[in-house]
Amino acid sequence: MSSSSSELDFQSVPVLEELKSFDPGSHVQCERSVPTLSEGENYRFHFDMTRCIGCRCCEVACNEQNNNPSEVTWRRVGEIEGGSYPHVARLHLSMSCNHCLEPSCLEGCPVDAYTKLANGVVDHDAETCIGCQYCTWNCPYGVPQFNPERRVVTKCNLCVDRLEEGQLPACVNACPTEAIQVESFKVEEWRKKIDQADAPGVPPADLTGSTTRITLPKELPETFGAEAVEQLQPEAAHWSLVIFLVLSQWSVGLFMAVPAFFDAQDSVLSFWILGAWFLGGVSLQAALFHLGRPIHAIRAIKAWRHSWLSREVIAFSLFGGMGFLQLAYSLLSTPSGWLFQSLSGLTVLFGLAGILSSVGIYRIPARPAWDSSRTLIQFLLVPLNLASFTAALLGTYLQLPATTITLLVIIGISACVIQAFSLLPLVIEGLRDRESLLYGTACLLMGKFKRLFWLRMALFLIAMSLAALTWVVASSTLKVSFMGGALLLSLSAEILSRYLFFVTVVPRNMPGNFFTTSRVH
Amino acid sequence: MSKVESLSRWLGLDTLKDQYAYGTDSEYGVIAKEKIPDRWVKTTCGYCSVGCGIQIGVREGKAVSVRGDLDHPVNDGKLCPKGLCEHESISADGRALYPLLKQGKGNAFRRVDWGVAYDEFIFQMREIQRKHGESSFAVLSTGQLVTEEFYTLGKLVQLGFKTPNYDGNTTLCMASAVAGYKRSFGSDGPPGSYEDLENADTVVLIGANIADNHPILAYRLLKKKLQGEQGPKVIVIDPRATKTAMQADIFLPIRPRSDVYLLNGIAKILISEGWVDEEFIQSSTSGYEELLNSLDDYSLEYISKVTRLEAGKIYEAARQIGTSKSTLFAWTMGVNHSTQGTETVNLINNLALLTGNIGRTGSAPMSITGQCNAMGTRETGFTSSLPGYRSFESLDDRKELAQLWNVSESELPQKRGLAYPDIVQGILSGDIKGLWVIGTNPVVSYPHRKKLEEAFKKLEFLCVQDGFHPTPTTEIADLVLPAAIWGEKEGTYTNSERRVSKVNKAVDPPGEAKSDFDIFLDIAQRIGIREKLYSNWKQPQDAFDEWRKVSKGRLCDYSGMSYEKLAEGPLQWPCNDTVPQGSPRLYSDGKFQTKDRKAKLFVVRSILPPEEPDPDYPFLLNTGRTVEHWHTRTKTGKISILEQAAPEAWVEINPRDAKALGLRNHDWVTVSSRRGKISRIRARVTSIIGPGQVFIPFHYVEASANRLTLDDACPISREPNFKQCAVKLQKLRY
Repeated sequence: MSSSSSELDFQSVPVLEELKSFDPGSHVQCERSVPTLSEGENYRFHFDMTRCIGCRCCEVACNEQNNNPSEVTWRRVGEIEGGSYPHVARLHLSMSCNHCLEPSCLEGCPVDAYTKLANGVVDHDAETCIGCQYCTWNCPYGVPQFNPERRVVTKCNLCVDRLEEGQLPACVNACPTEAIQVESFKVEEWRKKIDQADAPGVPPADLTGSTTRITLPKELPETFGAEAVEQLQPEAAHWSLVIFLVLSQWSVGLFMAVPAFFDAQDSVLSFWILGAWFLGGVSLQAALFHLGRPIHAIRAIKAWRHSWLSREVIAFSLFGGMGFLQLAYSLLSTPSGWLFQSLSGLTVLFGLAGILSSVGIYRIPARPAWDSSRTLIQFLLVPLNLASFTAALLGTYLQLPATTITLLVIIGISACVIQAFSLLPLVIEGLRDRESLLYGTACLLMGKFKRLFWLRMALFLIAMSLAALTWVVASSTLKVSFMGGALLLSLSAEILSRYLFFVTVVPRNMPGNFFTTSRVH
Repeated sequence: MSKVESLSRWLGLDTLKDQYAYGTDSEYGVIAKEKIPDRWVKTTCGYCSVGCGIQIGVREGKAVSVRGDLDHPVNDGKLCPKGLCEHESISADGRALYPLLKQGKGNAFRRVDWGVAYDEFIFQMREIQRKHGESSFAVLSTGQLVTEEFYTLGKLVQLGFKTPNYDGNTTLCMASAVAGYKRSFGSDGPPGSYEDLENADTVVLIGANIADNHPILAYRLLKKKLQGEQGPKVIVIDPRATKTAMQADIFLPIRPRSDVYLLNGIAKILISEGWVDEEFIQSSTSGYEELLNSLDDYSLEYISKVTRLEAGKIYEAARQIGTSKSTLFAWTMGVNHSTQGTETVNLINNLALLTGNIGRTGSAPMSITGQCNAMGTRETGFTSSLPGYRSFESLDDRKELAQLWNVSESELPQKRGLAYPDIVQGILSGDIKGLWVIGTNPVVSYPHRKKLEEAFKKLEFLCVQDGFHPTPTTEIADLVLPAAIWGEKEGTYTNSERRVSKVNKAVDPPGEAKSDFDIFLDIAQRIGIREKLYSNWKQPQDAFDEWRKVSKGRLCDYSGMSYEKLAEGPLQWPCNDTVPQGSPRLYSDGKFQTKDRKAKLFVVRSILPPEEPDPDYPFLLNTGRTVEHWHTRTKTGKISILEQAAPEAWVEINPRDAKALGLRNHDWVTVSSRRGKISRIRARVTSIIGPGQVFIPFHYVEASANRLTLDDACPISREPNFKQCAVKLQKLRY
């Protein structure tokens, strides 16, 4: 690259028309005091992008105000860049909580730690919170943040205690160019003008009814840099949830497979139920480890009216209880008859309700890679895959009727095949279009996690092949070994699936900057 | 944390409710309870030269919070992100707590008491001076001390140690502005005020990224607009599309170091269009004819070609300046950090003089300084001039000063000693054997790091006096003297607009650290000159009161100030009996400090930059700063909220160049020049930098831009050229 070649590019540097429109003078004098609210009005933030100089005073002032450690930043300044030198616009976007009209954090919270106050503020009570972090998934802006020191989630409350005293929020106070303001607005009118909360790189305001009004430059560059994929950081693996999901679903499957052993000895059936129940119990214990405050886990049943997480906890608790009764019955009495079958049926019913609640938890717009029927299919196939192979393994060992085993193997193999290819549509759809919400996930699956992606597929296919080989070999030892292998590989593949599910999700978020591209955990 | 505590935390029984509780401070209102102080201490921010009023919240003897001083005329209660958490610099890790001594080169530091430290310091200094002459001992100071300390230190070095080889890191920063002012107006001293940023019709920012480096000045610039009024038109001249450029009405993305052409070109347009103040030129300037005759070559087409700016854009900028009632020309390091820095300043002054933009509201050529008290050392420091902007060369000035100090005129040096780059050269050539570094971190801040490190290795004795240890410079010292920092001592700072603000002590320094003032007086005591030079001095106020007398009648006249008066509010010098409330502007009467009382217009021809890109080193490296950090990060690198906001260095590269090198955003690269290399730094692919150029912030010792930079300096000011050198980039695989 010689200097003469770059000279040519500068020869015709035209007028920077775009930047001419960055005129802070075109605005009315901003409000420097807390507005009073009339009937039907709420408080909200107004962010004026033309005024923001990206100094990050708001971030520091916020942390000072709330005594937060530096890893918890309720307000963050993102960067969006468009155009090419010198017709470039580097815009800054300072955002904290948008105090939405339909806050998804509140919707999902299993303990009702969130309140939408009469003045519009979405408030969160740290003492009620159990640290499940579900709100941190639900918010499309990545607003609520887990404070590892407190083991609960915390978030911006618009400095509501200050507002009530007629004092401006810390960020508003600190902004040297008055780019952040607090203002009042009529809630019903805002619903019609909600696109005024939209900005490049920001998830659409109508997802949750964001109330932050954003003033954009009059003319924006035509193109903004797409998400820098190379910067994408994997999300947390949530190992306790990986274990919980796989084991709970496996457990439900094992209970579903109970009828396969009706003809076996009572002790076998009892043993089977014990195993199923034990797995379920382990999975529920694992889930506790996910909580910041496990001692208050019981609170999670509170919000069953609106939170899938509450519903999941209730369903799996009932599942565990029914499973226990079923186990007790099988140990104390002959495991048959209408009572046993009712208990068996109820256990499966609650188990399925649990799995469907789990699906409900992950079907959230803030995490597009999860928000698909793929999650439902994958979650329902886990019990079919694992329980079928488990039952087939034990059945082969016990030499149960061949038809039962064949049926189990067919179910298991079908589940394996579908699972093996279940991520392909996501990757294809994601890579086809840079604008796609799945693009980031597809890039992670085909980039940083490429090896694990293919390993997962291979594990399913080998598991399936081993299961199919049991039809070919005659030796029962080999049959048992192959079935055992199929189960082991399937289990590994399902665990790997859940791991990839969590780490490659790429949440929707407000724009990051060079150093913070993804949500801070 | 006990096991019981951590278990109860883990189970979720304890959410640290108290630590995160809120309370009400009587002045600030609702805030986290732990941030509510017992008392607020009024002072001035210790980072940059904007000089914001700030209050430190003290609770049980600890600084727990800060807030902007609503009554301070500079900042109206606003602070930048560094100021907003400045109390954390006091309690930061890595403070220097005790004097540390290495017994012989290569040995580890050993804690010693102050007596041993002083004895060692004086013994080493005396030995070196005895063996190699008085001037073989040199001193490098800073712009971070209070004025009282600079004044004390200047006398100590020049009259106590009798070495003229004394300079500050201000030479890495504002020397070109100083020299430029002296040449144009006959004296140092920025003529304007920040209020001119608000009141000018036009503000021209030349090589000044105030949004990153002086954010509160960005507030002042936009203040009128924020109040719903018109506010000034803003012209930004910068090769990089900075945050400041984003606020410009006219942005001139100039080819690096073609500023001499642009400024001459604008002068020519102004003259040929008749947009000059003929009356002012006639009455108050000299050299107009020569200037006029020198501008023939600067046709608009030619300027456009050389600067790579659109001709229409240059003309538009000139018209904006020429037809405005008032224009403020403000600049910082983009101008000063150049081998032609002083002359570039003179060209800016030319534009102000031609248009009569000086001494009036909204009108001035205005250098925006770097450090909080670079101005204080310029006024009192005894480095580039005698205290009170007196000239070394002037017998009258020397006589006057000698009389004020009650010393013989012959004791005062008759010329300036070595400037910073020449001290480094002097060490390399063996002329200088001992060095005392005060409040600065040359290993990170000086250009051509390898050369500096070689020089420091050659020293027989290196004493570093600093508030922090270890720093890259204290680590290689023989003796470390622990100093108090901002918030722990008293004095005054002067900001870029000549405004003197009181600095107050909020808390005691940690460990055995002492204020620099006390250290200087202790040393003076031990070399037996305390009584002669600092008779009856006990506290900084004694130095201030003497300085008021010494500055009386000078341009930087403090005689009308006192600590009592400053407690009520800051004052701009000159401040004396005639103007007891200080002066917002200099030269309002059109009379300058030159012999003929006229300002001088300069003819300047562009010289080639010391290094330009070539096939081996194809990129032009520009260096600078980012808003989150202060200088070499000895403070801000230890404040977690700032460090997390910008935790590592980066090299900005244009997408087109990145593509050619196969670089993607965040890739690791090496950057090398003929002088050294950064072996690992992240690429930041962005269109705010032009093709063929790269930019690296200089704050980070881990990826130090100054391993690459040149130490070529302006021949007049001796300020090094940090802004341009040739480098190459190589992609790293991981």
